[in-house]
Amino acid sequence: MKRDKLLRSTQYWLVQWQNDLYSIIHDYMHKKNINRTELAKELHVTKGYISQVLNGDFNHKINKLIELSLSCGKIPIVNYIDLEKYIKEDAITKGAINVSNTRTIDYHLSINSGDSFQVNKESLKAIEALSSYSTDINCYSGTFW
Amino acid sequence: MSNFVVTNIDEVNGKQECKQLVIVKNGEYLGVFDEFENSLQKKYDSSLVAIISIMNRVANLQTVSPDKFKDITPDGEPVKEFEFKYRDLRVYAIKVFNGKLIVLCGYKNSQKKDIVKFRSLKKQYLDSLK
Repeated sequence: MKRDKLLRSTQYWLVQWQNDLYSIIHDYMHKKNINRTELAKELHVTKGYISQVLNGDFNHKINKLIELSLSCGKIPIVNYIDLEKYIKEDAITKGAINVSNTRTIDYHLSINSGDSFQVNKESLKAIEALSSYSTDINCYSGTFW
Repeated sequence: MSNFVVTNIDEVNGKQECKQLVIVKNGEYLGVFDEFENSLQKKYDSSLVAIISIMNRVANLQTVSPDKFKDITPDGEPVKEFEFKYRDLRVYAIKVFNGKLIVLCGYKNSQKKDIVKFRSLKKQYLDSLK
């Protein structure tokens, strides 16, 4: 499937919305430290309804989406972006990520509080120099000069 | 005897990479995800789009319902395993450097059998890197 076809499909965006809604409700439950049953009681809906939302299967009326969002202290602001422009920009972003000679390095650094450092063009060399202090193949740690 | 190659999944654009395993056998090769996509009946089109939508969220480090994407790594297993799911479709992946690698795709009704096959392929792939 071509990516532009994907971005033109209702299903793609529906799943994005469903999971965004899952995300705010999940955060709300976590913040208030309540379970599904308690949330259902608070929102005056059934536990099954909450389960449906938390399973990422919400597909109800727009007023229900707004109602749920507001109940969780969030405003559902919708942005309408030009589709053709979005697809064009998405292709550019994807191209930029997939440049074959891009070098991605995943370093896990341990820095003590109070330590300061600057990130500049030489920082890669500095980071690589830390590898001599490595104790684990996936973890580089040491002191910044 | 199979050899493995890894390629990008073109439908996914995110901060992290989403790749697929390509099994090279008898000179023929096709990515596991591409092969699955090509084999799907039309009735699964919508579920496939949903799975790719979820893969995009995961690649962009966005929250996803655990009903749609979850960690299925057995205890003590060092390389993380994940399952993407939507209705009848299942996609199995492992954690690789800077993202996920799709190792096998299948259906809900063959889940148990597929997970066994997925773990076998995962082992073969990881052994091939040694």
